[in-house]
Amino acid sequence: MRGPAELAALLLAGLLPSLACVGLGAWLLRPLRLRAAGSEALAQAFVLGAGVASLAILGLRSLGVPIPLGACAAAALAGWPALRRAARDAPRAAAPAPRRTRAVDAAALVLAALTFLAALGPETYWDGFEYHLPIAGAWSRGPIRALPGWLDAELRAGVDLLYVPALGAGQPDAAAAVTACFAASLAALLRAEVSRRVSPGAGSLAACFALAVPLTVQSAASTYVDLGVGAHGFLALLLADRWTRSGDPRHLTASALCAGFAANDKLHAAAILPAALAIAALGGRPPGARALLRGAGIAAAVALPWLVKEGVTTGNPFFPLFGGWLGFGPFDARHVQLRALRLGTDYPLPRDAAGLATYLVSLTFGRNVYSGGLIGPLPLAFGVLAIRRTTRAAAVLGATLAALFLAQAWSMPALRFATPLVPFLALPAAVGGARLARSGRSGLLAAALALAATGSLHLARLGIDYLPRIAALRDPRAYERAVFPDQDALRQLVARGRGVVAIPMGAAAWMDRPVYLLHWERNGELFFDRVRGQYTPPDEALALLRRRGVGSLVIDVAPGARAPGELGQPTVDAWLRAGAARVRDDAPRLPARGGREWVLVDLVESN
Amino acid sequence: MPDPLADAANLPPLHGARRALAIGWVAVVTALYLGVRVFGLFLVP
Repeated sequence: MRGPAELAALLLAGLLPSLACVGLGAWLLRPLRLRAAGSEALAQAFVLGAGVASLAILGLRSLGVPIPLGACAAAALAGWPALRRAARDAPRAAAPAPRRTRAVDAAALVLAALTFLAALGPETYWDGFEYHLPIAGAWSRGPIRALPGWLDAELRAGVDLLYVPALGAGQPDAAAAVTACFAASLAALLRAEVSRRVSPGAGSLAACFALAVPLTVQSAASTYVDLGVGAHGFLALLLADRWTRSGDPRHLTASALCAGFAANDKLHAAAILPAALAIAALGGRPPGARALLRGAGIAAAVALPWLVKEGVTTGNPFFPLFGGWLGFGPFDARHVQLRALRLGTDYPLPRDAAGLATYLVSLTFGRNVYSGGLIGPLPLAFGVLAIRRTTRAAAVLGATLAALFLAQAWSMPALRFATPLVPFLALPAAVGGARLARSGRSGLLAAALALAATGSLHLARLGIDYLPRIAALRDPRAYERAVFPDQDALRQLVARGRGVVAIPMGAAAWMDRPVYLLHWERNGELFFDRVRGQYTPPDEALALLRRRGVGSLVIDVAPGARAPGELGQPTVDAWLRAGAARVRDDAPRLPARGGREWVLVDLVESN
Repeated sequence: MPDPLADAANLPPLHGARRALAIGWVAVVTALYLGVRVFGLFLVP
């Protein structure tokens, strides 16, 4: 149970890294001359500062320099003069916002605060506790280096690095606060954009919905990095669009900077750079050669540190791209290829016109856990009311976003991979909703009812997800046990293992000792179970696990009697028959998922 | 040419049959969404 002092320490560990990002980003607002005020300026400072902070952590941790919370506090304080100057130089609003708009803004602030508090709850989101937190944890305990058996560590981890200060301070539950701040920043950026295009009231409503929409709620309280990728990618594309509308070259510079940050966050977001270039070049105002070269240089300079890191840890600066020429380093090419195929299975329909149409309908009406219903009904309900013959700039923006979205739907249909694109749906939704609201009393009533019904449902979902996490701040272990009892049982058995303990998959971040994930998608080097005809022979698997320091395994098996020396897992059974492993009868068999049970197995020392 | 996505004021309000159609569309989409999320209605995977 946490007392007041521990809760205060948790809160500080959550706040200080994000405040440091704001502080670092504030120094960029002036040279980039992004004319923004209030929450938009703060959001821009945070998003830009997060990219800078991530690169700083990459450099410092590569040299083994610790990143204490005190350094975060100093960076936050150092940004204060720049923030004040930005506030002084910011354009002033012509008139104060109406009371109703301020009330909606207050509601958005409450939602952002709830998101932040929920993010301080224990990590119970699968990818978060399975690899995002463990990888950042490894790089907080030691220098940034190759992590054998952790394929995800090589697929860019720009946002993950922002978790290092909280983890270094011994506060893993505070790490996800950064994600909550990305969610709030996206909401603030949308609020400003919709305010400009529709009205301040519509902007404030957009901010509320951006925080409450299921796609955000699904990620914002976790160490999933998709909202960070989304914030960098969205800002890059938005600023490229602003160039086509205004012709102001500073928007191109900032767009290139954000595109570079997005590429550092996650590999697939490298597609943002050519997309931003297409928007800027084809939107009717092609930039000159000098502006293009400057933008390309900025993006390349921002991406360079990760290219160097990949070159050092895998031998391939573009890992896993061009693996046929440059190699896959310590990883198995079959794993990398199969993983690309596996990502496409998150939506179980064939890749043809009918499948794609169903996928698009599913974004509003579906129940698929990775994409179904995650954008809510408003983009479809209101967005079509904004369709009209439009300008070349808007057409190019729409076509570029559609092309990116099609590529994502085809190869990685989980909607969280489209977070740089999804916020753009709010623009036609706001325009169409405003049009309906201006269409007489019945139109206003219909718009209000749709907003109220959707908002109520979103808030109910948000409450169901967030409130138990906030209530668990004092006793996180009890919450973990209640959410994933099987992973808690796994933790108990891992504690009784020897050396590094191999586990099938799961809550690596919860374990009290180092673990090795046997799941092929995570380790990138071992097919412990047969996958599409690929299987690592037992002898090779044993040798590899011994090289990784594995002394024990905890595996899930079907309960019930079977022949002595058999567990029903082919590799382990082969080891048992050969005397290379033994079942630990002194350890209890604890319940795993699906009616199975956890069994502790020791590897026998080889002579 | 005015850009409706750049400034919502460039879009004229809806009247008559178009307004009725728009209200019906918004009502159907919202109701179906609620049906899927609250009552487990199955339309697509």
